[in-house]
Amino acid sequence: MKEERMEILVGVFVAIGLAALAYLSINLGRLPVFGPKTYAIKAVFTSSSGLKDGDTIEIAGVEVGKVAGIGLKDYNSVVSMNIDSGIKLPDDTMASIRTRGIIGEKFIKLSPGGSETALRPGETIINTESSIDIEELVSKYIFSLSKPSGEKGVEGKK
Amino acid sequence: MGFFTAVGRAAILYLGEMGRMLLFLLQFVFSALKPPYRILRVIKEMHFIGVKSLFIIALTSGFTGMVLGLQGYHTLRKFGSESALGSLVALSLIRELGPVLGSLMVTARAGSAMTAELGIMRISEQIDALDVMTLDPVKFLVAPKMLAGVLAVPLLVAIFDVIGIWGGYIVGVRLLGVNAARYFDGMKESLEFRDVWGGAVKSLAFGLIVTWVSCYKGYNCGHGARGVGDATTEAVVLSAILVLAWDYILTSLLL
Amino acid sequence: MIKVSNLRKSFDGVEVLKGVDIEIPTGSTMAIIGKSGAGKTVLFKHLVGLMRPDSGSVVVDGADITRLRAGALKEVKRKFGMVFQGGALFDSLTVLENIAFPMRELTGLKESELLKKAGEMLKEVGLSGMGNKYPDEISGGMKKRVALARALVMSPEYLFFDEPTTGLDPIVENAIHALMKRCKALAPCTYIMVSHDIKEVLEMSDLVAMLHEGVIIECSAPEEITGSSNPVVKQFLSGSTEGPIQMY
Ligand SMILES: Nc1ncnc2c1ncn2[C@@H]1O[C@H](COP(=O)(O)OP(=O)(O)OP(=O)(O)O)[C@@H](O)[C@H]1O
Ligand SMILES: [Mg+2]
Repeated sequence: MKEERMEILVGVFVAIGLAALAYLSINLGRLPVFGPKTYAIKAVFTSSSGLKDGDTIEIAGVEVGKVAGIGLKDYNSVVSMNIDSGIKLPDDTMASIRTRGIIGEKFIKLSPGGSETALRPGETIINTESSIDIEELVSKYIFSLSKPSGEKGVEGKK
Repeated sequence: MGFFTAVGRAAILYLGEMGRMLLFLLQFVFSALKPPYRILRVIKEMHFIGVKSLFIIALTSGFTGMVLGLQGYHTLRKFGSESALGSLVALSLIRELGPVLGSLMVTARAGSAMTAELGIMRISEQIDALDVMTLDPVKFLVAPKMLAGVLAVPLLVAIFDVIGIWGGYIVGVRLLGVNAARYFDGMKESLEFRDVWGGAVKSLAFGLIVTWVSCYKGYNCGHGARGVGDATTEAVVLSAILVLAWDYILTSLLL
Repeated sequence: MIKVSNLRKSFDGVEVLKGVDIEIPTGSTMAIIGKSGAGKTVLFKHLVGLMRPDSGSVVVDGADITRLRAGALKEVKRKFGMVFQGGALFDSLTVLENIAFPMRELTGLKESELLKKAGEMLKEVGLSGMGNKYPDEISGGMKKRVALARALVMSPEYLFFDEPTTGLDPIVENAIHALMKRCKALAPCTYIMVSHDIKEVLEMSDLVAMLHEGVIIECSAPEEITGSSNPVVKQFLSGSTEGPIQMY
């Protein structure tokens, strides 16, 4: 009886401890317990200047994923992204690198298009807008002041 | 001449002690692996180390979290980033304060008691009596304690972390008015699974260190009541030193 | 049979055992006498494998326990039971649990059976009704009896008693002697006892060995030792303060 009580108490203790551990790792540490909760896609930019691993990916201001890696291919920047599994993206989605505020951190903004077919894991987004380089913009602005016929600061579609 | 003799003697003494401690650890590992497994004794020790430490862990973690909330808020406010309070509280607790303070509390409450218990059993020949009965005292007395320590301390530390986070919440959000959603979102954003895992590895290691040192000191205790007292003091001091030293080593390995 | 040859042990440079030679035949009751501090308890601890000698051997039924590896040593130790001078009762267990303990841990007996047996043993040592007390709640003499019961209950082949009846009143002492004799009659075994009680030594033992200054100076039957010509033995048996054994 005494022993039984002790066993129950230890059981309760272990349960509480494991619950705490689970809360820390699943809820706060985002341990992917139930299979991968994200899928990977890529996007090619002419410049990803200022973008880092772990930067957020947003649609309409809502976070839907994170930058998982940045590499170089054919002198273009290839950004891998992990997108939450619940989010389906049409294959004509446009990805643009934006800045929070004027000199804040960079993030990728996704603008879904109207296509019926969805992007599958591993596929690449082709419609992209690269980082807007403030310095470049400023110098262009000064340049355009002296030479009225300025160019657009936005990359064309590929 | 005298100086070198003294240094040499001290070095031999410490090396000898370290060697004996390592042998003791090996003895524990081998005896724990060998059947019969005395699950009930492990449960008893889990009760002693885990269940009976819950109250003090809850108390200390609550206050730790509250102080973190208070200090963190006033520091962060100078930079206008009170919204980072959640991640500050959670990261400090999970990475450092939980494992370190948690295992120091376990040392104070359970480790010292284990040393005293084993020490008294040693000086009153109860350990010898077990030995004559062909019950390996390391297997019978020490192994359950050390196993229970390794199992219970990570759970206690996880509980410490969670209560601490809520203590920080009470002060930061309820008293000082940080936005509740920001408190938890900031936490979730900055916390990675690696942090939680690192904390768990640390607490596992500390659980082993604390019970190992405490059992070793008690098991090899000197003569009389004074011997038990000395062993207990040594166990607490050495546990604390080793926990802090290994905290540094593990942090540099895990980062 | 236990055969001890040239056993030596020193603590911090002080030699306590200086080459002990002794033969304990199977089935005998050997009493070891000697003045307080002579090293009787230390000798006992060597006989049961609790201490390792500096040199010499302790051969139990052909196996030298000072050289055996852990596994083989355990096999030999199964034959041993010991009543420690201080009792060495497990102080976190009740009296009854103390007696039940070796059976519970070492035999496959059912809980009900072993508790019954422990209860019977407790009655044998005159402590029925004390089963639920803890060791620190009973008197020194009672502790001794519980320790005796704990050792006897496993019916070992070799039983070591470090002063089995010191601190007991004469009636209980006689009852314990009767119990020891009864146990021996039931299951033949070898008793080795340390005692300061000359009456007990002469009554119980069939061999008496005297340990003096680290060696066994005489080992013979009780009838012979009472007529010993050795002045040390003579003085010890008579308890005289005059003689070769100096108090100070
Ligand atoms: N563990 C030990 N460390 C150091 N010295 C010891 C140890 N055990 C015993 N001694 C020393 O060995 C000597 C013999 O002690 P022992 O306990 O064997 O005496 P004894 O013959 O049993 O005496 P008594 O009849 O009073 O019980 C003593 O001088 C004691 O100081
Ligand atoms: Mg003695």
